[in-house]
Amino acid sequence: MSENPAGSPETNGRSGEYLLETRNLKMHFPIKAGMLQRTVGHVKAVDGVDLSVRRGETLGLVGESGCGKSTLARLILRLLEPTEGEVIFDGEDILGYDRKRMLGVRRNIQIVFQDPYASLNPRMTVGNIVAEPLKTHDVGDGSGGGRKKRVQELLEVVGLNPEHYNRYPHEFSGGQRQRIGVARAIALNPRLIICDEPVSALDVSIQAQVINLLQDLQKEFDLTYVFIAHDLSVVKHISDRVAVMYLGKIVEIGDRAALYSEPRHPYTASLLSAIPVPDPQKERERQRVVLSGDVPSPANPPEGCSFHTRCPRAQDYCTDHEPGLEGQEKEDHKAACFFPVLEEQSIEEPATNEPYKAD
Amino acid sequence: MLEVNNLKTHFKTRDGVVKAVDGVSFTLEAGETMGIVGESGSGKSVTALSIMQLNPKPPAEYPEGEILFEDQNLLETSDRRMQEIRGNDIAMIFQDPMTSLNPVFTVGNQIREAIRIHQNLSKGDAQEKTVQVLRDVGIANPERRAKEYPHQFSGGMRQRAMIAMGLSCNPKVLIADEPTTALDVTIQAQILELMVDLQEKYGTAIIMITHDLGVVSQLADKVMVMYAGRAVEQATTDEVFYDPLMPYSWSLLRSLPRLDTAGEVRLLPIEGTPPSLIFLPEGCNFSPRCPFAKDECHETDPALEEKKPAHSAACILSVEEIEKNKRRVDEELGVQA
Repeated sequence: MSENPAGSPETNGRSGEYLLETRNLKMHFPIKAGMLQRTVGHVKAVDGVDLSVRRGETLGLVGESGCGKSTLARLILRLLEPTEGEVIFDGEDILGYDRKRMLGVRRNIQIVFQDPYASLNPRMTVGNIVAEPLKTHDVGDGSGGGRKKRVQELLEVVGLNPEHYNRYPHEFSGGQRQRIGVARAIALNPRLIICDEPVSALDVSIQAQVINLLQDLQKEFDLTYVFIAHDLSVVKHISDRVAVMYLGKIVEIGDRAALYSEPRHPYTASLLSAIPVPDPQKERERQRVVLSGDVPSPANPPEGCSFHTRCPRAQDYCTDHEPGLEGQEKEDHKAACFFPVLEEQSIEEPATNEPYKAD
Repeated sequence: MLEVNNLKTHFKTRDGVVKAVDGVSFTLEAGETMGIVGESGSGKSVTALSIMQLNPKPPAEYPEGEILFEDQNLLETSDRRMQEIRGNDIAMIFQDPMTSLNPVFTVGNQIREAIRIHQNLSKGDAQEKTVQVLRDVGIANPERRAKEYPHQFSGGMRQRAMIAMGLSCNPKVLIADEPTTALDVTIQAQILELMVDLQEKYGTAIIMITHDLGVVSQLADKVMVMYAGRAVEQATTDEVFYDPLMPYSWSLLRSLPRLDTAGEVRLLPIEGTPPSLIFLPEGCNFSPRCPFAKDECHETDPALEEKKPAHSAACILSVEEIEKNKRRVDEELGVQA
């Protein structure tokens, strides 16, 4: 099920088309209960994810809360140890690395967190916050001005006043704090930045500032992003390719344009139809597919296709068989569905009675 | 039915007077939906809480204005009379259903409380009505669910229970303060659909407070855009979205990544941050961030005036000047008309 490298590889580092790959990555958190704290089950937060991120691209990762987006981010950074699977960064499986070698990898993978209020230490000055990765990795001399100069440079790059070096996080607004988080993430010139809902805590007018900043930095420093968000409009704006997650699995992945204009998986299609667009005329004309029910618990996901309990076009076949990510017409576009939504089709009715590419 | 005239809600603090709402006027007819949009701190929620008379006094003060509901000024009614109105004639749904439901009482108990206070029903009848409203909002097994506690409900179900509570006495006005912000989009679609259905059924007037312009364009008949405690633009939904005449509303629409366009254009960020409500800028409140501002804007405080029939905006620029500026910035951004 892993993605074949297609097209000519564009390299900006060592070799290979992909900067980051995950193979069959799983994170099952044990549920403990009773006096003896015996494991009575598992929350399958991430359940077999194969993902490939090309060098220099932005891969958007969308899904509803609880679908495993953030857990996946933490697995890539090895902030959590996966139950199973591989994380391959720049051609090497980093899961076997010891602390020392891991430090070298982390220099190249950084993260921007969702909540700019919780992710900055209120007792540290902004200068110290941004300098911390430099200290950890022993970049620049501590006594001389090298490190301080670099920090001020970084503050300027993200659009903050370098004179504000000695201020504390509470003196900044939400958008400015997120800029500090971005400055910290780019301090070591990483190759990959994982943005975990970087704008969802911000007001709409401020969101645009941070999105534009991230896009500018990508161009300037040749960065690769994994951009996690639940807001499909933001993801559409910033991503080259988009992956949709549902209950710990990737259910559809593809080129931005293909995925948004011709979603194949009924979940993607209904997600897109559920989002209100800021255009009253279009809103009045739209046919909305409202999914019934809630997302099932990842501790007890449905048998067969995990989406069949809410799927408007589910068949008996879907309850018994689990679909794999299968290529659609375009090689790059994959969806995990036996009855994918084809062009000009309503989501409610299945097209064929023959399951698509089933074994 | 509901008429708000020049409402001012100020909070006295040690640092100065916070003018959270500073001269807001609007009317609402039966069966109508009005959207209030604005950033956090723009006074949306305080406007709602003023109508409900839920702002703690002190520090809240109402130096001016009136809120007329069926010819009574809610700012002057007694607390006892207000209790009769609140929940019965005017109900409110809050943003976060987890913090607005009491965790130690069953959901049914909490809905029944509202019904028992406002309607002269026996315990048995009230229980029946509780189950009925839970069924109305699409909760399966309402008899059993009524006996459960909020933590046993999912987020979407809690919000349904909140709506059930809000609608249990068939209010004439329902104020929904960011009712779907904490929910996922598929659940949001369910809740919004439910609200529209219930509005058609009961003819309730809805005030929809949100920062999501998509939600407003889906539901609202008319829109009030708020900035720094003032209403800066008021018109029908179509007018505000297709021909905004206040630079703030226009910039807001341009700062939004959109699902319905190709997505190649650069976003227009609104530079800077919203002003402090204690120390408002000279002249127009939006002038420090306004892409169209000229010198005069930093001196003259614009009043909300009718720029076109039934379309008011608070901007000293003329309609022609605004249109010219829109075209200029659009060209810079590469937006196709």
